[in-house]
Amino acid sequence: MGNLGRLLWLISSGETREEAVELARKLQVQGIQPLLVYSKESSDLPTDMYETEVEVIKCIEAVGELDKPAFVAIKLSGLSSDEELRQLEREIHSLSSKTLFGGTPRFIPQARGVLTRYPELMGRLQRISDVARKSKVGLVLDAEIRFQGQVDSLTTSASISSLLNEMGGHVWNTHQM
Amino acid sequence: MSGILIRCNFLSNNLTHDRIFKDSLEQLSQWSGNNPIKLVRGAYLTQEPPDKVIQIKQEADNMYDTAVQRLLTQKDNSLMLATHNHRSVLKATQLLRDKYSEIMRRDRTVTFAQLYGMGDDITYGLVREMKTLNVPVSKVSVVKYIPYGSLNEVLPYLVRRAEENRGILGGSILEREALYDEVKRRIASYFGISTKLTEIRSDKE
Repeated sequence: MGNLGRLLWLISSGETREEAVELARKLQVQGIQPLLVYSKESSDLPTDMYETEVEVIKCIEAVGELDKPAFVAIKLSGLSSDEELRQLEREIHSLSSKTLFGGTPRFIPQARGVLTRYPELMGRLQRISDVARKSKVGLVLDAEIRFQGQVDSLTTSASISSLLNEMGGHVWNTHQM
Repeated sequence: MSGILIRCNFLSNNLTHDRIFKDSLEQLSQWSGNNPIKLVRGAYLTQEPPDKVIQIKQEADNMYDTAVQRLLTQKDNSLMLATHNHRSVLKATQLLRDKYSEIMRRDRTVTFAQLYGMGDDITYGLVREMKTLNVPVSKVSVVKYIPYGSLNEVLPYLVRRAEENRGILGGSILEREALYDEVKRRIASYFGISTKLTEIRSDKE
């Protein structure tokens, strides 16, 4: 193997899901619960998003074999294109701004309507959430960049976690102060 | 030290912190209802508008601690406190110790979370504390956040966290060093000169 080949091999090798789960098992013996996350820089390629979904589901299933509680974290930016996510954030932010002082009940139902217009993202999230529910694994929506300019993305992850929980999920939303 | 940036939920620059915090909690209820909440100080400080970032670390710390206190005593949400701040963890555990029955009367769980390779003293201290309190792990747990993936996937995450910590945690040089140690460990492991992820450090029992 040449130097370039060795470099490529080094970069693409790494600590695997199996090793992470094995570590989780050892930590549990010490009284520490695991929160696994497949760390991957976001990409707009549909194949990358699909592979991320597949890996996350495999991770949840593996973590499901461990004692509970156990958690897996996901990032919306790994399951959606940048353009799609920014658009969704703008729509939900606009909605939350209008309903900010209008009382609690109105926001979530209206946000649900917005989310239905993003079937690919919501489909991925629904499939992941379903596997987590069946595996009794807590699903954590990890933090994104909260403020894209003046647009607050927190409302997007909050409404997504609400929707998934309404459908039986156990989804934690990351609330950034 | 300059560049201590903790982001907070600013609605407007001229609002008082009490007002900002009150709105933040009200928004949390409005947006998240009773969903489980992972509470963090803010993760992408250098990429956000300066007017959305609290410039004084102590103020941000105080707001985080107040949020924890109010969420535990006034709300029903299950809560995951993701922090490497010793003082915040001490305050939260003290609150749990003092008001455990009241806090856990609500149907919820409380979790403390630290990144693998960081805050191990906090993590193992919490485990001992929970044993002392004799609370079931189904109600109060201690979590390690374990990122995995290939080197080119994990390293950007760890390096970014280390760089952010340089801005966030002025007094927490040890935490930043711990992150860089984790980066070095991951690189070294490929050359067979360091522990792999599956090998727990023996001095952490």
